[in-house]
Amino acid sequence: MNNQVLKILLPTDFSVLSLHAIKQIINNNPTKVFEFTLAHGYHLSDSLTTLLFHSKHKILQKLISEDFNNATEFLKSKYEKQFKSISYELLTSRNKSYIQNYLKNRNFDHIYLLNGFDWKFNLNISYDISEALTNSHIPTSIIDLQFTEEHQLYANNNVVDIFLI
Amino acid sequence: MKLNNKVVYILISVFISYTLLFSGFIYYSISKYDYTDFFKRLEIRAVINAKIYLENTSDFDNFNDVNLNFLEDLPSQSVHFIPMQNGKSFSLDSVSKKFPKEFISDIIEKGNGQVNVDNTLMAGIEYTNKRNESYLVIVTAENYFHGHHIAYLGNLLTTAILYSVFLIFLISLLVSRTLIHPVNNIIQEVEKIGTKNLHLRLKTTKTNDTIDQLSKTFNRMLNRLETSFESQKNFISNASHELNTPLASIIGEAELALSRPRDIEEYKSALHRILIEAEKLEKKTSALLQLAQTGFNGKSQKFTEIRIDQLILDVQATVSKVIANPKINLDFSLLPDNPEKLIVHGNEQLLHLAIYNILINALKYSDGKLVHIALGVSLSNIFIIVKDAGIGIPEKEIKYIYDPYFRASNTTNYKGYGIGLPLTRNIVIMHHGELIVSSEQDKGTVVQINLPIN
Repeated sequence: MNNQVLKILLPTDFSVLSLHAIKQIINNNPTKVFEFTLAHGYHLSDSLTTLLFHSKHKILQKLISEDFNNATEFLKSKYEKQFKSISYELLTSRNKSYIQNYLKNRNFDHIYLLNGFDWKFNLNISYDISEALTNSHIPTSIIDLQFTEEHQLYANNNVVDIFLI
Repeated sequence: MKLNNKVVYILISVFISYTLLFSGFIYYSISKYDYTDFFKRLEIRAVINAKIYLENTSDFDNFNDVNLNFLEDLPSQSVHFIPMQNGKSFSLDSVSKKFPKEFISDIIEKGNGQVNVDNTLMAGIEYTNKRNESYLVIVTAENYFHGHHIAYLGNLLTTAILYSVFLIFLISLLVSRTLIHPVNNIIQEVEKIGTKNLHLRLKTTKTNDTIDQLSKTFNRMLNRLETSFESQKNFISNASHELNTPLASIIGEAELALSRPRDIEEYKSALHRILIEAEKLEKKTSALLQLAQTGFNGKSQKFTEIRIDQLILDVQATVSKVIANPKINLDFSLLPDNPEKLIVHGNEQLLHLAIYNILINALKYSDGKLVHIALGVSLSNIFIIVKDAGIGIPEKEIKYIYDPYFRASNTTNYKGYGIGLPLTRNIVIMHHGELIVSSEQDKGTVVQINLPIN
């Protein structure tokens, strides 16, 4: 097995369904080991008080559900050897230089963007960061993540969504 | 002591202590500063008088002008010039009748001195004029300002303290009433709620303050109490109905059989029907007994290491014996690489029964549609998920699903006793796990059993 660890950046809306992208990436590259960073577009408030007490940890706590965490743990247990770690990032701007600086500092090996996925963002606080990630110098792949109408309809951000049953 | 009074006393004590401390500090500081200031004034007068009377210079007029025009006479002010013998040494005895010895010694040793004798303040300096003659220049005066200003300050502070005590009392009373009043309201409202009107709830606001949170907590507790009462009522009515139906059939059959002489075949047929009803009754009572047993702490149960994936396969095999060709989809796609993560510590028979109950229910209410079982493992738990696309549970009835003998309103066409789910929940709780049921009527049900990994 090739033990090179690949640092992957993947946009997310923190829905359990979006984790199928990780499943697909690992299944498509069975000899590689991955470190995943899930990036979430987050509107930073203009309020001085909010900025003063801004805490990434607290925001992530609000955005990430227990079911999402459990589903991530399922994947970690399943792909114990390939799934090295997972971390979460809040990208607070679509600004090109901000994104380029972020990507440059983090040394990602690959960016995966999702095609056909029905994002479930709370548009008051979050947005899809995919477009801002498209023109980077990092190799980028697009993966198809489409579900049946039934799965989309009944997806309730419940841990059961990770099974597609 | 009433909470109302307690709040008043505490607030008054705190405020009075603070005010006394604060006033005491001001009184002490001003008093001390007043003495220091007065001594300095006396020292300045000593220097000016020395310049006027001990020097024979052209500045005489200037100093005299200052003395006459700008320095007011202090009460009982007197200036003393004491020449020092031989310019250096000095006989203390000659002046000790007028001034304290220590005061004179201080002036000779340090160049200046201060003393307070019966509220007459004395300040002195050693002065050497241009003719090289040394003198002790001592100015004495009564500290009029201390006597009057400090007394005035004392009176002012005392009056202010008395007024503030009164004011603090009123404020404390107001604060305590403002704080206690909503609590009293809650007490009165809670007093009104009894077993006959458990539907009543406390008034809540949108303020989300502590009082509002208290009301909401009470309301949540009342919700639980009401559900519990309803459950108890449901159990009694359901149990009596469930047990009464076969009993009524048995009695009816027996009475009918005994109503007139019959031949053997008819008696046999009647006894057979009685036996069927009696068996139903026996099943129901034994299910109830089983439920009661699992409700205990579980210490009497034998716990071993169980591989959950194997257990699910066993359950599937058992189900296949009861239902012909059950439509079950086993999703082990996220089965962990490490089989140790699939082991739980539990009672195999009971866990088998729990999963069996869930699976049988899913199949029963799905009308032949596919039922999925999936298995996932987190850091500390194993998740067994059973999902069906069956009739679901009406939203209003979902809170009663764990009541023994309770059957949802849309299950009349399906056989069942209403014991399976409460029994399963008891078994899961016995294994320190969690049973989560989410359902939508006519769409399906998802049952999630979380069990801690060994």
